[in-house]
Amino acid sequence: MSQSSLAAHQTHTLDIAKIRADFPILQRTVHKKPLIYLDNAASSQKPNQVIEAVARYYRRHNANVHRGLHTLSEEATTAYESAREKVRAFINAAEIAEVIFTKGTTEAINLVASSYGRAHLRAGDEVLITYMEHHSNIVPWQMICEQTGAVLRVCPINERGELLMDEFERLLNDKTRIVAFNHISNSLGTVNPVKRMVQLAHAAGAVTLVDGAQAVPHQGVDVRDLDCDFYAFSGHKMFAPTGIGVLYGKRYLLEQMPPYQGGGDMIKSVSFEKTVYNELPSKFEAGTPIIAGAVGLGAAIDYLNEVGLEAISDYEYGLLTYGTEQLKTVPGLRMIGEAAEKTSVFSFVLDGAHPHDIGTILSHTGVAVRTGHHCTEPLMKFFKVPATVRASLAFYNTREEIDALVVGLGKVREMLL
Amino acid sequence: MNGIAPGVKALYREAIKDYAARLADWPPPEVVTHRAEGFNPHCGDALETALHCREGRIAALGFDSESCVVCHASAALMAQVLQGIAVETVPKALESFENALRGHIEWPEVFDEASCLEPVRDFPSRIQCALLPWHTLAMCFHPQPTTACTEEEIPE
Ligand SMILES: Cc1ncc(COP(=O)(O)O)c(C=O)c1O
Repeated sequence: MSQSSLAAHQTHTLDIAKIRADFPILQRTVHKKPLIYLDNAASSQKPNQVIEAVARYYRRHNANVHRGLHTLSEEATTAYESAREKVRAFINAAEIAEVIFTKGTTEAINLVASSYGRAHLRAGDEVLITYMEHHSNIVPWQMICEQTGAVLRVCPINERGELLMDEFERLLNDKTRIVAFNHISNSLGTVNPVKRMVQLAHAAGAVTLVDGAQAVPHQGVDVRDLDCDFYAFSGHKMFAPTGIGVLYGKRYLLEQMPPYQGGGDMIKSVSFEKTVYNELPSKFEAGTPIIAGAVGLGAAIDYLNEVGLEAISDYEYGLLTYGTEQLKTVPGLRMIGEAAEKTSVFSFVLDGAHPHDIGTILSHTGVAVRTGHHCTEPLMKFFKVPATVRASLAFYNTREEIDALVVGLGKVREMLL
Repeated sequence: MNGIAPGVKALYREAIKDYAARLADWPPPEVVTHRAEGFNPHCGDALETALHCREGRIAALGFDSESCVVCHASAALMAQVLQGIAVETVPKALESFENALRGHIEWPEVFDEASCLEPVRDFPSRIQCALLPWHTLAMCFHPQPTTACTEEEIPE
């Protein structure tokens, strides 16, 4: 960590002007208004440091990895593998063999559901998920349950959008094989008590998969402290490019698991009689990977370390408190998701206005929010709304931008009501 | 109103809001012979269209809907235009509505009030909202009705 960020870290303040200058897209306008980007839970923006790292890779080092002896291939391999080491340190995994690059969270979950699920689930076994999962942490489990005869169980939530931990404990039993849940909900911002949930699941003899897609951009994650068995996340939500993501898995589990896809890179030797699979992590990385994406992810991790995740958490907590207060002043606004432990996500509905109309009008004031069910249809049903408006913040957002959202909502009311 | 582009103002002018409000005059009929659900996963528009068809005509129609202004206005317009028409003319009406909405043809006379939907053309993602009631109507006559979906899921 540099001297200046060390100072920032200690006082937990961020130099927002400097940070915003790192993100070129934040300088642009939409509909002749300055862009106010509040759709970070869907995908985050990229700092120059990431954009440049990707460009530099293509300008100077581009080649295939693990396959050539020539200089470029060696450089590309080094760049790719050093990104893996950065990820390892970022989540405090024990070794790089436990860090598998995937396309994103979705692919990471599918990998575990297919490979671990198919090998371990039998008819009558149970998989436990929660009511607040993203479709990508529902559908792969439904698919594998259908194939194996296992049963999918769902832990309910309360009106504030918090898991009912009593129910969670009650649903765990000696048939539970896999427990999969998100660290932070993309629709509600709820931060789940992951460590406790992992302990309870382990006590019941189940393995755990944590969907960390919404956690890694906001707070430090230590997979060994959480003691989870698998942890999945996407680069594009943490200021890195799209197309790259990570599956962390404990070595002993990954070793037991059959490969997910077959092809080049994942094998040691191939003959028509017998193929010997490669060691971890290559065993799960068939084909040419998204090398530049991994390089970009490494650069994003460097950037986050430089700014400091603790400072980011503190700053965003301030935005959450401020935003919650300000949005309360909008007549007819109902917040969906008011968990005691929450990140800077505001999901809401407005009396008499459909989210899609709100989204269109806000967009013309320069404010980008997401409207819809946010890939969490069961959750929308629970709250009895067809959709919500969601403003999701990152550390480059400001109080002034929250003010602009509130003003925009005033305009929505003027136009629609 | 300050700071709002003319395009959005045009979209939300009174005419379309009036039409949207008129949807309340079209509850599902008491006798229902055809029914289908429509859903736009992109934005959460959800609508159920219910018809009472008798002697080859749409005797009555109505909706259960939780949708945006554009979808509501389009549904109310559709109800007004289709009430009493022969079932066999429905595909043609649907086709002309879609073509006119997209600006490929002039509005046919029966749709004279539909011009309030024209500003939708400037909002590509909203065209689906206007089409949802119509696609749902088509689904009512489908041999194996499923939910009419305006598009494939758009992942986050
Ligand atoms: C909680 C959560 N899980 C999983 C995903 C899926 O991530 P991806 O589309 O990058 O695979 C998302 C994306 O919105 C998410 O928010």
